[in-house]
Amino acid sequence: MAHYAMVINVDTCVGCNACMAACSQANQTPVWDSSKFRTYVHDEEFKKDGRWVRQFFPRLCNQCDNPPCVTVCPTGATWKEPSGPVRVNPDVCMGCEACAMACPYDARYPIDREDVEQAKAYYGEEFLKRTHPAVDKCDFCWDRLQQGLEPACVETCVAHSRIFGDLDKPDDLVTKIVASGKAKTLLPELGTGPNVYYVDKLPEGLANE
Amino acid sequence: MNETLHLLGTVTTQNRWAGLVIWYLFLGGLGAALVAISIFSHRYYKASARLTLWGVISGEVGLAVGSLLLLFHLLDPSHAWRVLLPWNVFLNPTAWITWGTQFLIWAMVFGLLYIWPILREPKAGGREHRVAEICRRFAGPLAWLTIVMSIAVAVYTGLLLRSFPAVALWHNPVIPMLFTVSALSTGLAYLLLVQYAVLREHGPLARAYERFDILLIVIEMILIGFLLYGVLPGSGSGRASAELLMGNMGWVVGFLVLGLLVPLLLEIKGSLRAWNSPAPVMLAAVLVLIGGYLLRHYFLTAGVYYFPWTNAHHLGVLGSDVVTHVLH
Amino acid sequence: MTWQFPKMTRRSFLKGTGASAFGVTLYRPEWIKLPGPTKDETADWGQTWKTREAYSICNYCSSFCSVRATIEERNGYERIVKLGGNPRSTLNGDKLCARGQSGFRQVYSVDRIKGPMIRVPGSKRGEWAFRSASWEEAYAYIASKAKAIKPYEWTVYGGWSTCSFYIPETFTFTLANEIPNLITSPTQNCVFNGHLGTNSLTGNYVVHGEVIEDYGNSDYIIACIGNASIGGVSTCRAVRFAEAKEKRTKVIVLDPRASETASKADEWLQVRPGSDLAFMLAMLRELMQGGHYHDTFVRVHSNLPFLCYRDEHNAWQLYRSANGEPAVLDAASGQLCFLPAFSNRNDADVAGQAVNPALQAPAGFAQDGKALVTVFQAQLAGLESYTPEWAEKITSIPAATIRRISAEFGAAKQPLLQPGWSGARYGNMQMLRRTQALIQGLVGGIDRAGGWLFGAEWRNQVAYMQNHIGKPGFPPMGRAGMPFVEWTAKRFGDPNNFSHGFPAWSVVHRDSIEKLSAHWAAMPTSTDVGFLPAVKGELKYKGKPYQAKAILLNGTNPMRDAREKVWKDALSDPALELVVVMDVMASDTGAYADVILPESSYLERDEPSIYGNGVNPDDMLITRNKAIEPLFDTQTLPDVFLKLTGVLSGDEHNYPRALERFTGLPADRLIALTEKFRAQKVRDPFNQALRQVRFEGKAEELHVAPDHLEKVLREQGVYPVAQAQELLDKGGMPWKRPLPTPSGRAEFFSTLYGDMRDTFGLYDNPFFDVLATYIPPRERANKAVDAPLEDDEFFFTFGMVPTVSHCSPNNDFLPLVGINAFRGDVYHGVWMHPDRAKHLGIRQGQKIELRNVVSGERTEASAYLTHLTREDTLFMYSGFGAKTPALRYASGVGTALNRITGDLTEPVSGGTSNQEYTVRVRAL
Ligand SMILES: Nc1nc2c(c(=O)[nH]1)N[C@H]1C(S)=C(S)[C@@H](COP(=O)(O)OP(=O)(O)OC[C@H]3O[C@@H](n4cnc5c(=O)[nH]c(N)nc54)[C@H](O)[C@@H]3O)O[C@H]1N2
Ligand SMILES: Nc1nc2c(c(=O)[nH]1)N[C@H]1C(S)=C(S)[C@@H](COP(=O)(O)OP(=O)(O)OC[C@H]3O[C@@H](n4cnc5c(=O)[nH]c(N)nc54)[C@H](O)[C@@H]3O)O[C@H]1N2
Ligand code: SF4
Ligand code: SF4
Ligand code: SF4
Ligand code: SF4
Ligand code: SF4
Ligand SMILES: [Mo]
Repeated sequence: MAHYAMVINVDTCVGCNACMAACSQANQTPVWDSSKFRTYVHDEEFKKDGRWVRQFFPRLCNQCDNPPCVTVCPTGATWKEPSGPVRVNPDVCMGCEACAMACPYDARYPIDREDVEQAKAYYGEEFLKRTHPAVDKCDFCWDRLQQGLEPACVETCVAHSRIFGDLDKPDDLVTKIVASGKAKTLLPELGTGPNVYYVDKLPEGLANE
Repeated sequence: MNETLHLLGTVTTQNRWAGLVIWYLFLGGLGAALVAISIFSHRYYKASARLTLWGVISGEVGLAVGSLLLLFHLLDPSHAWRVLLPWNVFLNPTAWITWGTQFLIWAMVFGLLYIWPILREPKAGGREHRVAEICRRFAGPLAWLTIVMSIAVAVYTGLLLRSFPAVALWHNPVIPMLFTVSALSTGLAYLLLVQYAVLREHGPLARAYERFDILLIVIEMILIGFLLYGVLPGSGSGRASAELLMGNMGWVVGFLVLGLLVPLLLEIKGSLRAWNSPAPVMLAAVLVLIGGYLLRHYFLTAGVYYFPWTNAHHLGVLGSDVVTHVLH
Repeated sequence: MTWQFPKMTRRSFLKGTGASAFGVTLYRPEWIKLPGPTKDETADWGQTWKTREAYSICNYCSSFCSVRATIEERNGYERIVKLGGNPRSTLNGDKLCARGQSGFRQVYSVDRIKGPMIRVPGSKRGEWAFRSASWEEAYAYIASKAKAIKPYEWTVYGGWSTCSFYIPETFTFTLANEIPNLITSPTQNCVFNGHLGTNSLTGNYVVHGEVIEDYGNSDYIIACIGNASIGGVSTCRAVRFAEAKEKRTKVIVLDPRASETASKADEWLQVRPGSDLAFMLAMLRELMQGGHYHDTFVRVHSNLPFLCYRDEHNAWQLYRSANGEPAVLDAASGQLCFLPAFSNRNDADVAGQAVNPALQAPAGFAQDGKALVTVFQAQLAGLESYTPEWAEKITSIPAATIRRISAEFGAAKQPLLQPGWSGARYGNMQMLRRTQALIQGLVGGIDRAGGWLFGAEWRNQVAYMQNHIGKPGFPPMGRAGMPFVEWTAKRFGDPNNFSHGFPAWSVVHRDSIEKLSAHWAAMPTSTDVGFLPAVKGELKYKGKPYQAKAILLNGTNPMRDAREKVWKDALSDPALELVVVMDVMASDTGAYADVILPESSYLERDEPSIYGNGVNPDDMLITRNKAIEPLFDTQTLPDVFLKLTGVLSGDEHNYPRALERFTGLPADRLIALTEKFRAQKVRDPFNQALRQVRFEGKAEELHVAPDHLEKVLREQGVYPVAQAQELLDKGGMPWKRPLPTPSGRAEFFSTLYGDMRDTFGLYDNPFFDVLATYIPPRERANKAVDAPLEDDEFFFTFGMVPTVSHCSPNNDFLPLVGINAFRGDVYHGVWMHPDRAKHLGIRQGQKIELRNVVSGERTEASAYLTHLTREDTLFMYSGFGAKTPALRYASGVGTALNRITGDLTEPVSGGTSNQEYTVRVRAL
């Protein structure tokens, strides 16, 4: 059984947003609302060793091993796949947004009626993946995984900053990076058990894998 | 050069659960408390039929309206039927909304059945009569079913918030107690209003209510004190919430002073030496009701999320305008 | 999987507190886990439908990434649902940047032009008041106006993509109709005034696709005035950079603000705007003095060992034999010997005797009365005063740092100095890019692993030219690189090439104004300098008035991409009787059209050529195949050019005939095929005819069947021919074959500038120096760059935003609009240092007014306060500020760069200098 995970190498991300663009089109997200993307790349500014630096920080759903968003769902519209991704079924979701409240990572957002209407024009009525208002989130591109494709953001990441793999496969780069102990998760103290890891640099010896 | 991942932070509140949800939590708590207290008083304190009907029916209306508001808040109400199914507790038992919805439904059903015979005296013989008979026969169990379900609703409004781990203000064991106590207190206040303003029943029950309310307000104060000074300082999210609350006049004056302190003093004074007019008690009751609403309003709006990233001069994706950037 | 109770053990709890950047929440999570639904129970609404794939080339920047489009079919409808890179292409693999990913939104954009449009009578240009029309109506309208307009009164203006994909079509269209006036945005607003400098050394010239940086194999990278290659994202380059970054290659970036590239650098040097040339000159000096050069490259493949002398004008000249052969000093014999005039090597003289060229001639070495030194010596002497200390004063970068970096660069195995891209910033940028090229050449990093690599396609074109030029049947446009540029300069500049006897108005304008006066340019090829005077009727040629009366703008947006003042003035002038715009989207320029001709979008058209795979060092063939049938009443460029040739010249066959004359394509075959396709009701008959003829030609070259080639390109997107390494081993330039420079060598002594210098007698003008020399930036009218600024005065800089192409209407595509909105003022605002802002009482997000001190132009913007820019420098992303309401999402968002960039050009090629001024800032 696969255990999908992503490593984000902050060192190489150039903040180009190709991931955001790819994700939006692959998953038909409401692009007309800048607060409704499944993933974001933050443009950060801070002082490090006395100098001001600019850092790009990509983020998405952590597909937590212990997802509070799932436990609070009264309809069963959201659940964790055995292989890891946490999904939402818009045909079941009633949109109470309890999951969004429970998510410590702001990874869920509402798709309302207007969004569904606008999507008809924008993505083509015949081609809609989502016909009901519902909460939406990154699901590691479940549809693409089923077709044996990488997540859209990973595929297109021009800087190899988003690295995707299966932690059950010892040869996968993500497995090696995570094994190196250098990778960190976000807000680990909450015990959510994220499956998106961050490294400030690719550990020595793992380059060009 | 140092090679550690550099995380920044954004502290933000949310506006996903605002307006309607706040009313839902308030009305849910109030309604449940009304039903519970009224039926309890009716069974064990000889509360008048009029008071009981007033209490239970107002309570049921409160619960119904609250639920409707929640329904409006849903992105797709047409999918809500699932949570109404009784067996949903087996399908999605980890979600408090699942339980809350059932508690609420059954509290209303049993409550109605309990007051059925009181409501109308059907002529002997008819089917209706038989129903009333059954209700009367099982009045005891019905009463307790209703009371348990209602209290559960009140507790649930707190447990719901508690299940959101990121927010220290919510994710703690004080919340369920606090919301329950507050619910009962608002319930009593409402009944006092009915007694003084509508039914003119200034009997011993009213006095008992006042005394009990004093007790509740004191407990509420203790819980809030513990929350603010025992719980919240333990985390960044909590500290931020505490700051938001204590820095807000609406909370300090509106809730702490007018919603808790003033009614407490008024009621203490009243119970030591009875007022010679109902006005002060009624004032206290109104203030408690407003306080009950404010408590829920400020608790939802002051719940603070901490995200380990910043967003250069763009309000938090949660849409709130309370965003500060923390640089580590 | 089995859900466990949360593993909030003490271990993970402590780990949590340890790793957490934030406090610990006091309470452990206690939510309960129960088995969730298993896969088969879960609804799979995300049903995947019948899809197919089509292959094309991205049209959103000059990186030419290979594209794979996924087309979905549902209930009889077809729709492009996703773009991605073509994994079979070694250029960009399966990756596309944000612009590329969003490219197909052009097809479905609500602001697309869905059919020909004619401006409604009574409306003013710029108002966007059009009625839709049929193609026949549109052509008829143009014909009616064109009757009174002579060929030389026409001007054709092509945008960057036109000039990358349709050069033969466009050039021959103008020539077929005897139009001597051709403007191309990429040259003037972009590459010329940067890359002419680079190209003077390499002889290279490809609009935008000059070289690709082999970051992955480099061990030391420096970038200056350049963000697009890496951080603005040129995908094919960015992926190679990421490789270097993962290997922890050292990266130095010069930039006044923290560009995306600078944010990836190990050292970000906040250089003073406009001063990079000083840095590079000091670096060149350090390297030459320190002996940090690639001996073989420098002595055998460059003209550094050539002997030169000062002529009567005290200007450097190469010492040549009677029949023009250059001379070197043989280190072995101490003898002067002449080398073949054109070759890639210096190690054999004209007689074939082995030569060991010396880099230094002994003091006092002379020949027939001329004191001779090597180019190396001349250049070194010229650099004498450019010490790191001198550079520090100008650049504000410590001399020690310049010394250290020069030494590190010189000591590196594969040092890589990014060539830079757009040049339209400072007059001295040609010299800057030239100096960068000299440095890269000095360390031998040209067409070699870890350095600059030429695209395989371009190397092939050079080989073809070198093997066929002068032979019968060689078409004039078979030229590649600078020889092609020089040919076009002559072709359009020489009145004898046109039956009407008029040369380009740009040349007439040059010769009618005082030399070196404002807007004078020695080589104004394909620029707009002179256009406004021509429109205003200020030009005369041989006593006859020379009036510009009509313009065809194709795939370009000068109202946003060039100087607004100039273009608004010109396009609004009734003297300009006809403005025809060809585009896919509405645009600020389109608003000024009389007629708009819609081209089928790049995903709806087969293209008439086979191209090389951009700058891919691997030899791969590629073309554009239509992903879906055109949605609207649109046409392809070749068919429009054919029709317009009929309209303008009276006989559409003049177009195929011109194609035969200039590019060697068989006219009669083209005509016959066109007729055949017309009979078959093919939508784009001439386009398909061209495509078929070119496919046949290419197939013959490759010894394969045309339909095989067609099949592979349709089904796989690319046709691999050869790999980079073998190509480099066989034909690396100048290692294995001559560069397309006049001498075939890498020209440190530039004959390109030398010829211009001599033609116009500009002997002491640094812009035309044959050697690298200092040219001060002209930001501050007669003030030193380091002189103090006024309280409210700033240098002004700009750059490409990763999500917009130039200032084109893809800033109207929703995913990009949403992404830009998310970045907020980082993208839409003007970067200003908080300390200066405080002083001026400017708050975050406040509206401010910018005033160009030189031109007086004013514009409003919103202030974005950030420590990531120099205190004396403002920065703005340049892709915003669309005005026309016809772009419903882009209109009014951000500030238009070209409203304050002034009207300064440089004297060599007339390129615009968009940063040579300071701005005064005022809070609003
Ligand atoms: N403000 C600003 N000005 C700039 C720049 C900048 O970054 N900002 N960059 C400078 C540089 S480096 C360059 S190279 C120039 C480039 O300047 P331009 O050559 O004008 O390039 P674009 O801005 O991309 O404008 C391209 C136009 O072609 C249209 N178009 C797109 N696809 C097609 C097609 O398939 N067919 C046709 N017929 N039209 C099409 C677009 O809708 C757009 O209107 O701009 C220069 N000027
Ligand atoms: N996203 C995007 N990418 C593109 C294009 C596009 O339209 N959009 N167009 C393509 C084309 S046609 C071209 S020509 C290239 C242009 O690509 P580049 O020539 O790299 O131009 P920019 O990307 O604008 O980067 C210019 C950088 O130089 C910095 N700068 C400004 N002034 C100075 C200075 O005085 N000194 C130094 N050291 N730095 C300075 C700016 O801050 C900015 O970071 O981009 C190509 N790639
Ligand atoms: S990140 Fe949020 S939405 Fe994603 S799994 Fe974890 S809790 Fe759920
Ligand atoms: S919004 Fe949908 S998925 Fe989220 S908790 Fe409510 S029903 Fe479940
Ligand atoms: S994994 Fe898929 S859904 Fe998640 S962010 Fe990447 S592209 Fe979007
Ligand atoms: S695509 Fe990759 S490099 Fe670009 S922003 Fe996203 S994560 Fe960063
Ligand atoms: S870099 Fe981006 S815009 Fe440029 S060609 Fe490649 S995908 Fe297209
Ligand atoms: Mo360009």
